[in-house]
Amino acid sequence: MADYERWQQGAEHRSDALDCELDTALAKYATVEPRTGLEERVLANLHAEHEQLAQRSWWGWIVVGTLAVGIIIVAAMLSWKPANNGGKHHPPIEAPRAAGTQIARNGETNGTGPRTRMPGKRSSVHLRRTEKAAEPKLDVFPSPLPLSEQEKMLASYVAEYPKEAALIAQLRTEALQREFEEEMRAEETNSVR
Amino acid sequence: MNEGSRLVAGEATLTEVLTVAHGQEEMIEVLVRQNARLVYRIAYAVLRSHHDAEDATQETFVRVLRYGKKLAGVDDPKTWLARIAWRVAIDRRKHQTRRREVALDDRENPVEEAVSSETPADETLRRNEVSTALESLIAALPRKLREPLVLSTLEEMSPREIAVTLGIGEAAVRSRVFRARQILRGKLMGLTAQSKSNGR
Repeated sequence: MADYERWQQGAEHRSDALDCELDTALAKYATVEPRTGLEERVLANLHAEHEQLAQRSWWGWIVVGTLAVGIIIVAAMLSWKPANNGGKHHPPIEAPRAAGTQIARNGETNGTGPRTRMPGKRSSVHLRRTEKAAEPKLDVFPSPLPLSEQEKMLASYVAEYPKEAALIAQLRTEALQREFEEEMRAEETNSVR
Repeated sequence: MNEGSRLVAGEATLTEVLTVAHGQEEMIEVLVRQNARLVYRIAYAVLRSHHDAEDATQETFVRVLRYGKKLAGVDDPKTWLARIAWRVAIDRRKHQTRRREVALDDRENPVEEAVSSETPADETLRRNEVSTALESLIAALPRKLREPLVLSTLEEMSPREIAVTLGIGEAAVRSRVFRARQILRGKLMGLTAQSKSNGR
């Protein structure tokens, strides 16, 4: 029994010694110091990186600003065209109707309704050709297409509130830039994880 | 909002942005001065190379610079930084092609074991052998046990901080470190017994 107790005490002593040895070895495993001046080297590198990032962001804002100005110019051009062309289109549309209506009334009196449209059509075609001949040749290429309903609404809004339209264009550009930055950050975060 | 007030608002925003930018730079500088050593030691614990550890430290703080806007909202910058450093070091190790340097053979390491006149030479030699063996034994541990053990050797890291860095629970950290130590003790015991029998 005494032998067993001695053996047990010896085993505990060896176990404690082994634990001590393991602790010492693990502490040594982690004991390491960087070369002198690590903080200064890191800060110098960060400063250089910061300048690079600032340059890149400046270029990005220049591109975004140019795009915003381009959008504003296009919006202003769209608002200018309908104001010049709208008046010219109206008379040809109204004139044949008026002529057609008058002739139709005359026709109704005479009892010849369907036939009265043809003289109206001829006169409207004649009027349109005349109008076209009177219009100056526009130095625009490609030939302007008729505006869609949405484009007309946008053009009228820009014409009526140019400053607000420019502000909206700028805000939208900034929002797009923020979304782009968030996507970049999300990609970076995924790479960190 | 008229033109004048819009201009004033714009200038105020610009001033705020500049103040935030300067504040961020100062925050990052403080972070570097307080935690560069910890980041380095975390990187070294994984990479076992001074050169790689310093590169990893640089990369860690570059990432902090890029995510600088998040820094203001971080409650525990030290643990946040440790997590980034850990991930950077792990990613670098995956791309490592050359063999890891053994700490004792690293001549750049200014911290060398002082040879005490009181310590017998054979004891010093034995300790060096144990340290060398420990490198291999730790590298051979399963990843789930190795990572908490490696971080636990850093005196700056508490079990809670290790848990946050690794993304596991604190109880898991304690149990895995305990298990890792048990394995290492067993292997060291075997090595010690073997060396004694060889010595006889």
